[in-house]
Amino acid sequence: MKMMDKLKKRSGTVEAVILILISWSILFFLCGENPVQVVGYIMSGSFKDMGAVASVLNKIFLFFLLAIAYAIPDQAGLANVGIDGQFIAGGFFAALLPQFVNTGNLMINVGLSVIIAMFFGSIWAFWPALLKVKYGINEVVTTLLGNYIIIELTEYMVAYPLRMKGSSISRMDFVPENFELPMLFSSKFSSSLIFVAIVLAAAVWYNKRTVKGFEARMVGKNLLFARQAGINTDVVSMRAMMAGGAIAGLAGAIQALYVNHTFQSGFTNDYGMKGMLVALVAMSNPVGCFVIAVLFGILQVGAISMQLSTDIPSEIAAVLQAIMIFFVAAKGALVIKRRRREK
Amino acid sequence: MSVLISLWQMTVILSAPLVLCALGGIISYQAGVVNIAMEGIMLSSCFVSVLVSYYSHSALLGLLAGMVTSILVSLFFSFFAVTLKANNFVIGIAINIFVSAATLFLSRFLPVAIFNSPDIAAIQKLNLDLKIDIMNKLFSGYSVLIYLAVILVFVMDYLLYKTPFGIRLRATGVFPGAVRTAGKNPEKIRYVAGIITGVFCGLAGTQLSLSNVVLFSRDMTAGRGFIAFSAILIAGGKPKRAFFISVLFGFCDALATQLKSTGIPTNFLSIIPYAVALLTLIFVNIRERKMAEESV
Repeated sequence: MKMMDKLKKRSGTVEAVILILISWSILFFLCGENPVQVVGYIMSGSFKDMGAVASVLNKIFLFFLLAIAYAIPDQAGLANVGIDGQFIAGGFFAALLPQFVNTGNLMINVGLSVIIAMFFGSIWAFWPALLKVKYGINEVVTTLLGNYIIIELTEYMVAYPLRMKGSSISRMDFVPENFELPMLFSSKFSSSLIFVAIVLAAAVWYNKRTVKGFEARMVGKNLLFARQAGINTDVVSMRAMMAGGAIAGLAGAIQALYVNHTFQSGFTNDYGMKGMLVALVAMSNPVGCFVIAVLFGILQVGAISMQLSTDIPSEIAAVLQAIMIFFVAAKGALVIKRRRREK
Repeated sequence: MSVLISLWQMTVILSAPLVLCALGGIISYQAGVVNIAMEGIMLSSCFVSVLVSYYSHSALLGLLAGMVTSILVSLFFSFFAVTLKANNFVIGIAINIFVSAATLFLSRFLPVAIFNSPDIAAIQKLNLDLKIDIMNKLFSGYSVLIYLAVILVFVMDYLLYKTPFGIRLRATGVFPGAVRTAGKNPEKIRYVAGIITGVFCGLAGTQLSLSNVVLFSRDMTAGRGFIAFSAILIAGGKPKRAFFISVLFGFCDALATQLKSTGIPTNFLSIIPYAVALLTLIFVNIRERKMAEESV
């Protein structure tokens, strides 16, 4: 009897994982490759040398931060599809700052950049949140259209006024050395690791332990109930959205200061959307976001070297990721149905 | 004068996919299904239409294939949205990303030249002879699908407001429970709505890739699905209004294209359609709110 109860309570994650692996294998088969071999290529591509590992880590951190940037508003019931735009806002201003301010002190420089980036990231999240809260305008549409707008604006800025002299592609001047994120204790790992760790810890703690986190979750689950309970849902929603924007801005700062050393055309490379996918698969759970970000990071980097060893194009990474979402969404919905039926 | 005429022509051409897509979205919207996946549905149709048209040298086959594809993608969306009752936005965006990735992925298996080849058969243009020269310039020579789009606005209007099916559909959007009590299955109605959405978005996609331009390029829908969605929201789901809003957006697109030659940076111009869509959405919503508050 106990076994049956346990079976009924299962959330279907195991089944989902199995189904995902099966469909991936089918996809690999259809491409004419042995699935096990393909996985092998992906893994070896990600870990073959320090350069690859560093690359994977960068992606993981990026995906994680952007996933959190989606997850926090999601917990409060808002779909923050504008992470691309907030990411850009953060990266743009972080890379722009050195042209105006340079204190000469690495720590302060980086600190300033990060703060500015988070500020502008949350500003870009502010207006869709305001529109949603005050006028009920759907935040998905506003943030999406906003994304396109800010992409074009910044593309223009780096193509003409802010363009680095003599550069063949559109980009800003390079960020000077005393603005770059330092390495951790003379290892090859970027100190962005610290940021990631802080954010992860903060997100989990905030979510589970603070009153504000609780309020956010309540608003996300049932807006009317939260209102009845006296929670100021408007403030909670806006806070959540702006926090998401700030984190996306932080990710942008890291990307600009450490990875690219500048802001350039095509800055986002759709990372925002991919970060969103991570959060969706992880169902907006902060720790889950980290785990899935690891997975996505390995996939992303490994897929490129896999392309060298097989005939499969590296774009398959996104397809694999999308497949994950479908199964996770299906599982989530089926679980709810099963629970409803049981009642 | 000729500038105005070409502006008009561009507006017509650029509005057509928006109109078709918006009409498709309206059916789902009225049935209570928020279909954010139109972007992906359209893109899948673009891709398949070009592919089939290239190999079969027939635009008609390309069109049909495109429509079948988008119906399938739409059904896929409906399965998650209607049966599994998953979050529409999440699934919609996932589908958009999936289609974007899948089309890119699949296109790598084929020679690049296919997607830009002169061998792709385009949709036929209709040449009406309206006797007066200027009437010809304004109203003749467009793709068949464009004329179809205009007709479909009236068809949709009739379907939604003057047929029993339309009434059931709208009832499903307002209160599915009542529909069930009345003996009809709201889920089935939503699926049918999804199929119709697929048909329309398929037409939109084919118009984009076999007529506006004759090629396929990465993410060629460029957010049109979302602009069409904004149009639906602004129009409150009414077909004729959505038609005008879509034309407005198409006009902005055309204006941006025309202004390219004046030296204004293209980036600014590209912003115009999105900014107009956004601002219109905001203003209309604010006005509606104010009116609602005042009437209380």
